[in-house]
Amino acid sequence: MERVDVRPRVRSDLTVVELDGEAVIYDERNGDLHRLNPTAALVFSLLDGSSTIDELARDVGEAFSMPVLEIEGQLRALVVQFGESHLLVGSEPPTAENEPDEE
Amino acid sequence: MVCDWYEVQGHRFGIRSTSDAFASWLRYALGAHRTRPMPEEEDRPRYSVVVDDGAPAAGRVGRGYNILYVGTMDIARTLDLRFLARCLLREIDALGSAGRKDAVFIRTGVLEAAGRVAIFPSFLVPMLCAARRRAEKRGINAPGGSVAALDPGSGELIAPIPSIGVPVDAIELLERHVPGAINGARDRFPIEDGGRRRLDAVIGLKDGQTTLAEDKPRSETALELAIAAMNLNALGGSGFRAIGEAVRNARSVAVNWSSRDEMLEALALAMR
Repeated sequence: MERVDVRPRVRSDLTVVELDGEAVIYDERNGDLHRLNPTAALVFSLLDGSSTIDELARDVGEAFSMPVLEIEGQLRALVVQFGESHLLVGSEPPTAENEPDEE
Repeated sequence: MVCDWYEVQGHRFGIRSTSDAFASWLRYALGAHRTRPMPEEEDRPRYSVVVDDGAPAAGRVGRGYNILYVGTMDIARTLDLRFLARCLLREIDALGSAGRKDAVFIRTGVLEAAGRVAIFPSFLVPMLCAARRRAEKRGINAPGGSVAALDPGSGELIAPIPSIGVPVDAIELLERHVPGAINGARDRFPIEDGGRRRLDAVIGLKDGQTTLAEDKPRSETALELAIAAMNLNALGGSGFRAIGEAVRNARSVAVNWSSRDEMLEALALAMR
């Protein structure tokens, strides 16, 4: 599994367009496009590097009156997914310049 | 049948025409870009232009359409040869869009109905061309073209200043080159040169909808437009934000994939 920052932070060089609660993200580095549903878009917007996943789960649980444990699991899954999609600091995709040559 | 070859911003293409006179006009308009075909490309021109020169045709009353093809796809059918010529020049201009930053170029058709303007998937352009009269009866003006341009700041539909070198009097002189083909017909683009309009709707396509036209998530539409954009790499995030602005202010709607008449009806519904 890819390493996920303890205090996950979304990359500042992504272009994010929010439309009716959903989000569409354009990654200039590799030209990738991502579409997030309202829940994923909300979580994405919270990942500013100031909170751990535990802390985020507590805040979200309080705000939506939901069990923290259940939320924490969902948050972790989403954060892993964001990392695998190269959307978090530390998970940047290779650019054309620094991509290793194929043998 | 005449076929000449041209090169614009590194893109080589042939234009085949049924009319010597129209080919002569092309040599004037695109003379600065004329080139010779490579042996392997000789029989594969990119554009074909069928010109109705006014000669009587069996089984037909009145004038026939002038038709512009890109490959095998007809992207304009018009009685107005000047319009076809302008449409062709716009298409050629968009060939070099990959590196441009003056607009977000998107492979999509543009239509107008009920005073509103919309973009729709380019693969529906031939259907609308073939059904021009039926479309017009439903109040839809979709005279042709397969590329739209958005202002990279506001996301409004615009007609960017052409980047290819064409004599300023080229369209004016078309009549001198092809006198038999010019008549009183006048077609116009939903966005004429120098114009700009806020996009009222972005129309997509869905299979198996129970209704002819229904709203779809704007995020899905923005994603589709970004995929259809021809120069997002050059514009980067600003181009993507422009797409977002265009979609944010527009109705996002999908029409059902069905018969021609149902799709025309769906397009009319989508514009109400």
